[in-house]
Amino acid sequence: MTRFRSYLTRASAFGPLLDRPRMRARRLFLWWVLGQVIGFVLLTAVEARWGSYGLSVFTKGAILILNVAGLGIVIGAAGQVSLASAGLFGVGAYTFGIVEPSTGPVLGAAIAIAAGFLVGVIVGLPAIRLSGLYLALATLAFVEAAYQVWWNATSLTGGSSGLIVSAGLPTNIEDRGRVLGQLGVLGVGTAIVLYRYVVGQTTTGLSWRVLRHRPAVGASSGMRVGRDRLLAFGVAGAYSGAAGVLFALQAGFLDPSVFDISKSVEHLVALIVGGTASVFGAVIGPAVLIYSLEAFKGLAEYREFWYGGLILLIVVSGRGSLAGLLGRLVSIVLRGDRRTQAIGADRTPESVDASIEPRATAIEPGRVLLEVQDVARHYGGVKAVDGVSLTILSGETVGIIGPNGAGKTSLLNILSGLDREAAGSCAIEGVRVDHLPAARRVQLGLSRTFQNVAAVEGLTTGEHLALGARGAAASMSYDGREEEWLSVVTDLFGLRPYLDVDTASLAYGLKKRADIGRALAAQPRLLLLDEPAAGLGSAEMDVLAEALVRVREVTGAGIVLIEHNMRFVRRMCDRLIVMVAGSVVVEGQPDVVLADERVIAAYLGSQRATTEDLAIGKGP
Amino acid sequence: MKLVIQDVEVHYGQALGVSIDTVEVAAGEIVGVLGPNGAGKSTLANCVSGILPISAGSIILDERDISRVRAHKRVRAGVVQVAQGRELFNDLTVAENLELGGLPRGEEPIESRMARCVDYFPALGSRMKQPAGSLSGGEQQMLAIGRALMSEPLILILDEPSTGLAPAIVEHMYGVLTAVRDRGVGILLIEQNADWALEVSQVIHVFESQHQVTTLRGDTLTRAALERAYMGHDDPVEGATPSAP
Amino acid sequence: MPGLYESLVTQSVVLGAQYALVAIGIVVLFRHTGIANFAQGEILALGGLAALEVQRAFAMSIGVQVALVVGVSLLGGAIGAVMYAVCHAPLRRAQDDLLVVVGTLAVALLLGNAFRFQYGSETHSVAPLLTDAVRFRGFAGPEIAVIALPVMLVVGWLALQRYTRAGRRLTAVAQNPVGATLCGIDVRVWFVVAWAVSSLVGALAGMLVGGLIGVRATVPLGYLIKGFIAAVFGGLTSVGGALVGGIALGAVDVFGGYYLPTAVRDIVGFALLISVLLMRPQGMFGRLTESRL
Repeated sequence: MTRFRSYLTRASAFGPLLDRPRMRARRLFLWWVLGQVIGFVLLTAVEARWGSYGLSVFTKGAILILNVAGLGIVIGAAGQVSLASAGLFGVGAYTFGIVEPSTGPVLGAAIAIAAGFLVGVIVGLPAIRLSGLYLALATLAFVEAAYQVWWNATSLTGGSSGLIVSAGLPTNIEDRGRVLGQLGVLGVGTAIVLYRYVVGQTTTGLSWRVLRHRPAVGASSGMRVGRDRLLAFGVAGAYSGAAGVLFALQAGFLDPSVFDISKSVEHLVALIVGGTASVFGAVIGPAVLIYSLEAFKGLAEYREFWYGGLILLIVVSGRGSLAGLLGRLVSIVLRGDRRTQAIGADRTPESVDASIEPRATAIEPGRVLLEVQDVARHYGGVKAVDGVSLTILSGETVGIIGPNGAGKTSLLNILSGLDREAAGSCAIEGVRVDHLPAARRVQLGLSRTFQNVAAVEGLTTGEHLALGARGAAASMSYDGREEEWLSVVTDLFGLRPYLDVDTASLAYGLKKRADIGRALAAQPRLLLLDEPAAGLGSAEMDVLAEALVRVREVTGAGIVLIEHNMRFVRRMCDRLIVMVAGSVVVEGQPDVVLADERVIAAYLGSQRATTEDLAIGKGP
Repeated sequence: MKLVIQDVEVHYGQALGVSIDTVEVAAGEIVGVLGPNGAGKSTLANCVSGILPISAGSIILDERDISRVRAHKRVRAGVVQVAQGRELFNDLTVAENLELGGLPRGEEPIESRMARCVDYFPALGSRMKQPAGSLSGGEQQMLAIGRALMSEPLILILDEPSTGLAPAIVEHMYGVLTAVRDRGVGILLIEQNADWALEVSQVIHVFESQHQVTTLRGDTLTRAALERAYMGHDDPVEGATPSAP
Repeated sequence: MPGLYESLVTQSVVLGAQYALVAIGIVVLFRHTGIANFAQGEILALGGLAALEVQRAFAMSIGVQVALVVGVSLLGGAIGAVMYAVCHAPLRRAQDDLLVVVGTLAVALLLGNAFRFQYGSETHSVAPLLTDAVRFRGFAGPEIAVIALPVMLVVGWLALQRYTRAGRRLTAVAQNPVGATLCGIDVRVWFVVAWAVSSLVGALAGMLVGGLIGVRATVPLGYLIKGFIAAVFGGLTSVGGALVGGIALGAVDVFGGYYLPTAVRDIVGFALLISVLLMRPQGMFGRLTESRL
């Protein structure tokens, strides 16, 4: 039994993403079998209780679930706004209806699903540049355009006269219903298992979950954000395509009026009801809707009333789904909602374990890691960065300080690749990276953290580390040494008790450490930290400083950090670079730099007449 | 007339934005708030004006607790902020911006208030019909201050007004601010430019890493004391009132 | 006998004015709140149905017509305020902006279902405010009304903005809600106003369009989408742009419908939408803003 359980539960502390592939495949298969068995049992029960009518409702439910699951991937997992599901549904149905007579049902289904994927990707193209309302309008336009095609391309689709689909199903009602039901079980079971697998256990799924909330973090961890957005739309299209195939088989006749925008709305309603927190929302939502429709048969005309009212209730309550709404009601009943304490907020940070071996892959000291020449960035008339040159060597920690608006974060964005419109040249270990996207620079050994963002909601701490590791390792295959390094990072930053915890519920200091852990998990040669000490208490700052020093000793990496906290800077940095209004003003040892008149003037404002103390109150 | 900010905390979600022990602003005085970037100064300004809610403590204006009063109502009560981003209406004219500033309160007729703004900032006078977005940085700052003054505030909050401005303009601006102070307005001045803050303030609070670390007044209100506080030296400042961390 | 070209032009203007009416309602709301109201079509239907009911009950004297206009306006405004309370206010602090639009969709479903239940799906005829007896340059009465309303709205709107304090306050809220708050303006109140005006415009539009092409309980979503396309063309933050965009779209539809084969015709509008969204999302006259979605 324990062996079985160990098959089903993951083996890696850092999440399923880092499990061995054979392990994952085995697990996947077992879950699929389990799903099919449950589905078959359900199907038999439904037929026994409600006969072939029940079977047809069951199949309708399966169709809806497939559509909603696809929508769940695009909206829930990848965080895009899409109203395109009705159009993709039609693509699947009509493609099947058109090719099936020539290719037979199995190949026809495969082609229809592939068509759904392809059209989905095309629909997703605007998503690379658009978001929000504009993206929604684009997907809306697609559905309408497709709708017109169904109506008007009469030679292909039969237009208003419709398209007949026969596909060799049994003509006997009971047998037909049973076959369709089994196809439904097959489709839904496979779809759900695939959904959980892709979203929870693949790099693409992780990328989607990061994309939903923090695309910049994803890009800076090596994720291919644009490609993954398109994949989300494509997979959603494939799911809707499969739903279309099943629909075509069940209905036997395709009438264009089915595939209009209100069908997309229905899918959206089902998704909202079920919630986007997990794939089972895609099952619950449709189940609730269909069951309620069947239970109150006489009120079929009030269907939209019911949908609308349900949604409004969810909206007004401010919760994202029925589950959320019920959860809130439950918490109100159980004596109000207490604000949950952030995890780890009351624990004093542990100090760093001193006995960590230097890495075999450590970089020898004195190597030039980063060379920046005359980098400049202008926005209209403003010079955010004005001719900055600097060099970073391995093993050193360089601090960049300067007053507000000095261009420090702009410089970091240019170095890390989030901003590629700058002039000048940057080279990482001799390789020119001027116009390389952020994800590519990660593969060259660069890694960065973010100022305010810290952690990605919905990901556990372990998954943050896996994210960092995966992004850098995109070009490498799995090897056991990843886990070893991640263990080192975990212990360095005291993250071990929190590996399974969603970072959204962690205390601020821990969120920051998770973000830094993510950056370190990539085994970077060059680490860029944006205000790592901001918002930390003094004890946490000590732990952070110690951990960073250890990392440097152990890997030989070069660290660049932007900071405002002078105490932290004095402690950590070998060298300081002072930026004012986009240019480098002073460079040198911290004690010297911080006593320099120009630096003091930059922070406190220009010295006016004398160097004597100014008395108060003497105004003009 | 006095504004008292006592034991206030502001949170962004779980993270602490700023923690304030005591800051008081009385009529006819300028209270400076200085500190490095990221110390929480803007957060302080925003919670006093009501843009950010406070999670603990109280803000009291003349015996009236305004901690929970919504931002636009605080303006009507006489607490007005000139935000760091100025927040002008770029497509409206200078005159329209000023006029909108004067709507919430004030006893003098709008025209005479506008005339006084032009007295303070003559550059605005010749640009009354120009859209605010077409003004230079210095002129925009002057417009923002003028707009705030239009409502005859009791307390004026300024968030880093000298950022990015030429020294001559800054000098002019501070001239206006001291005149405004002398007319009885209490000014809460958030600044990075310590030089000017020292010139005009009667009290200076220093913030670092979201906490109030030092208050300087009287004899301790010196540049040397400020430099020590800014540059991260650990030795305590003589005579200054350190605040509990 | 009007030539082909003139005929196409007049048709474009009439159709374009209808699109413009939908677009103006959308833009008024979006400009101030960043929200798109997907129930705008149902609000149009509401206006038409209200006119229908009044006409069934009363004879159409001048007094009744005036009362009708006032009544429909009030009804529209009320619906807008209710939608603010239900779809906008609860979600102001929430993370999930998709829900705001879903909320408007929900209202669309509710209203649509209610109307369909009561009035079925056939087209009912409504006596227009200006009857066919009135003619001007080839336009019949009902057409004149439909064209006049958006023009009047745009002119009135621009005048209000420039010459009244309320208009300047609204513009302030639209341009910079934070700045408006710092000037003592209660932006919540103006949000409600934006919702109310947007719905009022929609209801009035529905009444006049009903006089032209009849009233249906089910306004096809395609009509609403055309309104969105027109709004995007003109710039989602420009009321004047909505009028120009509407007429432009009307021309595209009419001329395209005449010269292009059926299958291609409807795609042209959408192809244009995608191109505009990708190349110049702020349309002709708008400003780029963040949408609440």
